Amino acid sequence: MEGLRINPAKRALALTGRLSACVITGTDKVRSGYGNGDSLLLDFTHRFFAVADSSERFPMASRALLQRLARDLFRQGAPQGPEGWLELVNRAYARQNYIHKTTLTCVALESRGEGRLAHVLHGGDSIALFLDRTTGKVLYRTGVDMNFAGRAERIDRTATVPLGGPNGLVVLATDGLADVARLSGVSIEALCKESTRRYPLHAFPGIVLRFLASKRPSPEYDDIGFMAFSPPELDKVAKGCFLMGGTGAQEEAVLRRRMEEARFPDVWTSPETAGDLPAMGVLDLPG
Amino acid sequence: MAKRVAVVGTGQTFHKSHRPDVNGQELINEAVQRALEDADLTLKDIDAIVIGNMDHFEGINYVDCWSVDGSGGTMKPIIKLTTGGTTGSTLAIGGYHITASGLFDKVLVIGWEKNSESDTTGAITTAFDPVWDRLVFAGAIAALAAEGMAYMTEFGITDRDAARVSVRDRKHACNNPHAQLRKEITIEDVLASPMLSDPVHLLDVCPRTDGACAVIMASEDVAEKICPNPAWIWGTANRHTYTYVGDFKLGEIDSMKYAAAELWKKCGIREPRKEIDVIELYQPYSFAGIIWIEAMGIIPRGKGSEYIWSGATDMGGELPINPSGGVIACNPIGATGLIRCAEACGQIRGKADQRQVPDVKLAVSTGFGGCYWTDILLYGKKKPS
Repeated sequence: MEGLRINPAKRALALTGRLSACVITGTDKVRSGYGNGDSLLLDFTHRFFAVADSSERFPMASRALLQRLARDLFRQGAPQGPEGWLELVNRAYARQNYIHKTTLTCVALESRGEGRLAHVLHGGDSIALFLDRTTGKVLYRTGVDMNFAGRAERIDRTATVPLGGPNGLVVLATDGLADVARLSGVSIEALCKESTRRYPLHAFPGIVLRFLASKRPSPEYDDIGFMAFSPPELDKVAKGCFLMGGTGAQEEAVLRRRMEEARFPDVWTSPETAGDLPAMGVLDLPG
Repeated sequence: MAKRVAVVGTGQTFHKSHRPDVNGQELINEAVQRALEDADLTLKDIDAIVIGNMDHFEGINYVDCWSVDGSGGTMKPIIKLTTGGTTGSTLAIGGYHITASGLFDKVLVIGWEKNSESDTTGAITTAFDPVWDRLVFAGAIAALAAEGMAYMTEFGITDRDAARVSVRDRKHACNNPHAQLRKEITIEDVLASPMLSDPVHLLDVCPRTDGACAVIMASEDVAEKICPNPAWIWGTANRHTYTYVGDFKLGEIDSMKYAAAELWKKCGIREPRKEIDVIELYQPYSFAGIIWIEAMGIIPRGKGSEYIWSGATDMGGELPINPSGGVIACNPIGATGLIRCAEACGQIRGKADQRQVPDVKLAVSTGFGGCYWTDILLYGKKKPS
C-alpha cells in the first residue's frame, strides 16, 4: 500500500504525518512467556479502525474478533449509517465464545456531503479518544464498561461523533496506554495531546517506546496497543487492510528471538520489503 | 399434584486436576453450553437455575451471584444448594423438586468445583463442630479408613479385596472421555501405592478434579417435545444427619440403608439387584464399593466383596456399577453427585457411547458426603405411573 511503512523492530505501522499504530508486549507477559492479547485492525479500504484486548490465556481471541470483522467487511462492503455498522459489528460480537472474552473499540469513518462523521462502537475498557490537535479540546471519549465480546451478546448503541475541522485526531488504545500515562504522571488525554502536538503522528510509537526504555527503575506495564490518526488525512490513502497483534505465546517467543538476533531491523520500510510480516505479528489481509 | 420430571440434556466439562485455561465462570459455561446443545435449547429457554459447589473450596462465597456470567443466570430465578460432598446429588434432587412443583418447566441444574484453587482438607475441617470435632478431624481420608478398617475387622476382608473395586472403576474409566484418570491399574498397583491411612492406599481414593456438570430437567408438559427419549426421574430419597466423631457407627452406613429402603418402597422396587440395570455410585474410596452396596440392599451384609470378585458389577456383568469410572476416576466434588445423575441418565437415554450398558430401563445414582450423608435417585426409561 502506497505510503504505508512498517518498522519490524518496533512492531509499528505508520503513514507519514497521518497515522501510526503500534503493539507492545507487557513486561509480565514477556517475563512469563505469555502471548500478547492486544490487537489492532486498520482497514483503510472501508475506513474502519479497531482495537481489541483479550487476556493472556487466550491472546488470539482479540485477533479472531477483528479478523471476523475484516472478513465480513471484505465480503459485504462498508455498511451505511450507524445502524448498519451496529448490525455488522454485533454479528461478529455474537459469534465470540464466552471463554474468548475481549474488549472491542472501533471507529468507522463516514463522509456525508461536506461533513465527516465517525461512528464509535465500544465494549470493555479500551478507549476511543477524539481530540482537536490545535486546541487540545477533548471532543469525545468512550467510557469503561464490562460488555466484553464473548460476555455480552451485543453492543447496544453507537455514538456518532462529528469530525469538524482538519485538526481532528482519533486515538484508539487498549488499557495499556493508561500505564504509559500513569508512568508519565499525566492523564491519557494529556499524553495523547502532547505527544501528537509536539511531534508528527508517525513518531508516536517511537515516543512511547523511548519513554518506556528510558524510565528507571524499569517500569511495569500491561500490553499496549494503540493507533492515532488524522481522519481527513486518510481520504488520500488507497486500499489496504492490516491486522496486528493477538499473538500467542509461541508467536511471541519466535518474535522476541528474532528481535534479539537483530533479524528485525529498526528501520521504516514498506510492507512489501519488510520480510516475514506474520512473524512480526502483522497480517496483510485482503481489503 | 407434583408433575413428573425428566432429564432432557446433560453436559460435562473436560475434567482435569488443574484447569488453568478457564476460570470458574468459564468452567461452568463449558458444561452449560454442552447441556444446552444436548437438549437443543438456548439459555433463553431456561426458566430457572439451581447451582452449587462445596462451600469454601474456591474461597468464593455467593458463587450463585458471581457465577451468573457463566451459568447464564442473569435476571433469572436462581437457587444455590450446597450440602458438602452430596452437593451434586442434592442439586439433582433440588432441581427435581423445583421442576415437579410446576412453577418452572425447564430447569438448568449446575454443579461445579475448581478444586485446584483450594485447600480441600482445610475447607472440609471447618465443616465440623468447632469444639468437639474440628481439633481432631484430619480430613476425609482418615474417617474413611476407620470405616474400612472396621469392616475388614468384622468380615475378614483385606485391602486386596477393596483394591478390586479400584481396578474395576479405573478400567471402566478408560471408556469415558470425561474421566480424569483414564489408565488401567492392577491390584498390585493399588497395594504398592503409598498407604495414606491404613488400610487406604493412594489408588483406593478419588483424585481432586476441576470440572463442572450441567443437567437440564423438564416437566412432563414439555419433556417429550424437547427430547424423544428423556430419562424420567422415578423418585428420590436422602438422609442427612450430623455424627460426632465419637458416635460413628463404623463399617456400615445407615443413611444409605434408610434412603435406599425408602426409595425402593416409593418406586415399587422389590428386588433391586434384579430390577436395576446400572448404578452410578458416589464411591470416594474403594471400600465403599463393597460396604455401600450392602447398605443399598443389593446383596446381604458381609457378601459385598464376594459379589465384586464375581465380576457381577463389571461391564457385562449382572449389575454394572460405575460404567463411567465413578468418583475414583474423577471427582470435582460439587459436581460429582450431578455427574452420577448425568451418567445414569445417559445410560437410560442410550447416549453413554463406549460405556453404554445394553438395554437399560432403570438406573440409580447416589451421592455421599458430609457426615455420612446419602442422596439417592432412581431413573427410568418409562414415564413413572
